[in-house]
Amino acid sequence: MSASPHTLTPVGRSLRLLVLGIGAAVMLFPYVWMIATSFKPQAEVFSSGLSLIPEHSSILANYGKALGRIPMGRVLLNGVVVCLAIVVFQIAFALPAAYALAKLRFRGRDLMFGLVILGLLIPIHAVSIPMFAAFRALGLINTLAGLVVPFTLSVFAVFLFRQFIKAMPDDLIHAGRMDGLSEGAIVRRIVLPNAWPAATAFAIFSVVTHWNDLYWPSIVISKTELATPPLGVLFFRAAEAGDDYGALMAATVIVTAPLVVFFLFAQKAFIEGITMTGLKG
Amino acid sequence: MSGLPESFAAIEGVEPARLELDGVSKSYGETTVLDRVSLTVARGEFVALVGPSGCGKSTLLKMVAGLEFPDAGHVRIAGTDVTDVRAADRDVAMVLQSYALYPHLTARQNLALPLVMRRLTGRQRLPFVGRFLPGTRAQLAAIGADVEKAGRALKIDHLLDRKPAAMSGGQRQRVALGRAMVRDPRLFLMDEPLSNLDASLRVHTRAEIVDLHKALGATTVYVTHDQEEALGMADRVAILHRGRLLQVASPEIVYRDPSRIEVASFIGSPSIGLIEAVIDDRGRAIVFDRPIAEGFAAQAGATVRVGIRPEHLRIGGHDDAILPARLDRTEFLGADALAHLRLPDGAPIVAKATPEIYRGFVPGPVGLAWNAADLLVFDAAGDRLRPRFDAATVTAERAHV
Ligand SMILES: Nc1ncnc2c1ncn2[C@@H]1O[C@H](COP(=O)(O)OP(=O)(O)O)[C@@H](O)[C@H]1O
Ligand SMILES: [Mg+2]
Repeated sequence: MSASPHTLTPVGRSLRLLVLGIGAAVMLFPYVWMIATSFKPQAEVFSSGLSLIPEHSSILANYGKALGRIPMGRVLLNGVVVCLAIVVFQIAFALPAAYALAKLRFRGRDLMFGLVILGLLIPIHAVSIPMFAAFRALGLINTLAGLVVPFTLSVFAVFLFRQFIKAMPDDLIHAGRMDGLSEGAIVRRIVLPNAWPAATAFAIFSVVTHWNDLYWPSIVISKTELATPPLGVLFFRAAEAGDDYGALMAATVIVTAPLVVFFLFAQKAFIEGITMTGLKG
Repeated sequence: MSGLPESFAAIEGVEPARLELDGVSKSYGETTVLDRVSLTVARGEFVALVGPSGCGKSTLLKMVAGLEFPDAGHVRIAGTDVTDVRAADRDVAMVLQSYALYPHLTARQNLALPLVMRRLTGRQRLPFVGRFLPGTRAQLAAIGADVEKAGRALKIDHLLDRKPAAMSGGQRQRVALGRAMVRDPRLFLMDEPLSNLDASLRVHTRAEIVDLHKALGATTVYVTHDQEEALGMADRVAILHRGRLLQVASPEIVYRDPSRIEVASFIGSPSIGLIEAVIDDRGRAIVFDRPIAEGFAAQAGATVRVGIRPEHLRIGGHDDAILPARLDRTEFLGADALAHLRLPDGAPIVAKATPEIYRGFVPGPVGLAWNAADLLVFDAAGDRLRPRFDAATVTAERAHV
């Protein structure tokens, strides 16, 4: 790598660092500003000066409010439970379906794969009203199950895994059959371990999406103790009459922090996942 | 030389199975890959299925394994019709061309998986829980011991804790062999197991597989596109060409007495020389106005192809020559030498002899001769034509020309 013809001169390298640095600063600024605001008392938030370091720290007051006014621990736990349940079901359902679409021959397979592609084109917003009606009839409104169920079947996961499994050699599957594995055992013992990079990449996308999702939770949940993190922030703002920005930013920091930490730990897998799937932006 | 027989005597072999293929056909869309193939492999026999690339060998083997299903015909193993039985329920082992080791498992786990699937019950295989069910520990210990034993026999015991990515091609091949063999299959299928090895390893492993077959006694179908491998290893050779089984016989017979022109062309290296000839009204095959063989019942004017093996082609002076030719060059191969020749019409033909015989030969006009009994003659459709009476009289005939 270091000896590649693309090695830059020191000047070129400095220039590259500068450009990347400016880009990073622009991207990071709102988040840093949010953290800074969460440290400031009300008066400073509205002052005209542009300062990152608060003159009078209001950390304890702001974070105290954020943790006290709504059951923040409960909200974070809801987020963890919902995201985990969604991702586990998504993989459990999508992997066998993707295996069948990639490696088995049966009548209507191509039609079904066409339907999967079609499914990719339908956003949840298009079907949310009929789904809301159905969920109310089923008694799933204001339950955690109501947050999980609509997402357990991910056509995106089926599509992604199908492409990944398609690239696995047929002989690997044949070897499994010769060794006495049933189709289910092949999915569990051969396909899953070898599709692990795709599964990790998908899991990261799924967790990020559903942790940050506000749309569907705001439709099915109206109770604070069932709120997911972003909905929790919304409830918090309502409870705070909306203009205590220091506390609001503190709540936002608490809600986004787990994802940031998760990213820092899973950074390598995350980047590998994105490059592997060819998905960017 | 490999020491395999003793090591494997300890493993109790199950009864080898008889394999019958009965009119098996298979098409993918418009293309017919296999056309009414019938083949019987006796218990314990080693049959090599040979043919050029793309002739349907792998497809046929997969049909025996239960990985593909025939459009027509039947597959019987040990007398039971298994045509529609899935691979997992056939108790047949197969070494795949690409080896297809499980990349996420160590060699030990690769070898153990087929045993785990067959010897443990579904509940015993459950993660965590299964380990505590009665009998599981004893079974797992027995599996571990069998894997060790197979590992020692194939001399891969030092590799057992490596994953396939950390092995050489030859080592992977041995692990694949071990995985197929560890469960004492009654029927053993191999799809070009040596094609990914380098030449020296190939010759060595060839001998080992033959020893292995002797020791295990399992009925074996061995697929290869290398006719030399097939002749050297098998009890019988089955030649497949464009989805049709042309001949099934001992290596000697397919070489000396091929029933079809494709068999004659495919078996033997360098391949047989073929000269186009026309039958005259006396039943003689005429080339360049000279009779080169006689005694054929074919109609006068019919075109035939006269085949002659390189080692049967003699290069001499003009006096006893049956056909004139030009010597282009000789090629030294060690024990043998080849002479590259051209017939009067420019068609190339190859002769083979010991290097001493060709010593001092220079390019230029020569005469070709052979014993009429060594000729293999085929009609226009490619079927073998046999002379009605001893063709030794050709020599006498030539005197008149
Ligand atoms: N799944 C398939 N779909 C379509 N054609 C196939 C399939 N499998 C094999 N074939 C075709 O069948 C022919 C025989 O293939 P194969 O049995 O692999 O040949 P071999 O092993 O003798 O080289 C080839 O022409 C190949 O293209
Ligand atoms: Mg093949």
